[in-house]
Amino acid sequence: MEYTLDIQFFASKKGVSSTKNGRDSAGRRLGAKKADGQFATAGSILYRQRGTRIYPGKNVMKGGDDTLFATISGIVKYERLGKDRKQVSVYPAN
Amino acid sequence: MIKINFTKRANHYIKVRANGHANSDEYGEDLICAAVSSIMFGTCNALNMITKINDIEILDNEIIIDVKKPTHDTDVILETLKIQLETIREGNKKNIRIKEMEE
Repeated sequence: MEYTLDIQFFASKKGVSSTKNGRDSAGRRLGAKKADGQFATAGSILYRQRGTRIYPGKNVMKGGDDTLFATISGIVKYERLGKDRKQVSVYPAN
Repeated sequence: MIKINFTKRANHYIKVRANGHANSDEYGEDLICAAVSSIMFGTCNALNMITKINDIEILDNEIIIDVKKPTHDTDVILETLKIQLETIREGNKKNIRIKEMEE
């Protein structure tokens, strides 16, 4: 083969630290834990968040870290709340 | 940032120039650089083996591909290169810039 791969060909050269950054905390795995239409048992976590991106709706409560969890077992529903907000509710599955 | 410039004439690729640093991590751990390097070197070998093109310069941190007589095969290989690079760029826009120019 004509051209031998240098797998770091486009890297900043050895020993030359180009950035002082490069540190980051581990990802917090936020976001939806139950999808719309999914069955959730009472007490299960529906949505992990920082602040209230999603508001608690029917049969849903908000924990101290803004986590939303179901207060009854049922079907998860993400709904609009007013003009530009969202809420999550749980409706009994019958 | 790695900068890759594709030059076309009459809808054929006639030149590719790639240079720069990905700067996504230290030397030896720069995954973006590894991905782009692999694709670039692979393309150079593909052009050389499939279309016998060897107007390819591999300089210090720069690769220049000159296609004197573009063919369907060279276009397909370089279009594939572009798509692969754009695939990497999708999640790493601050490490790669791709430009296409018409001559």
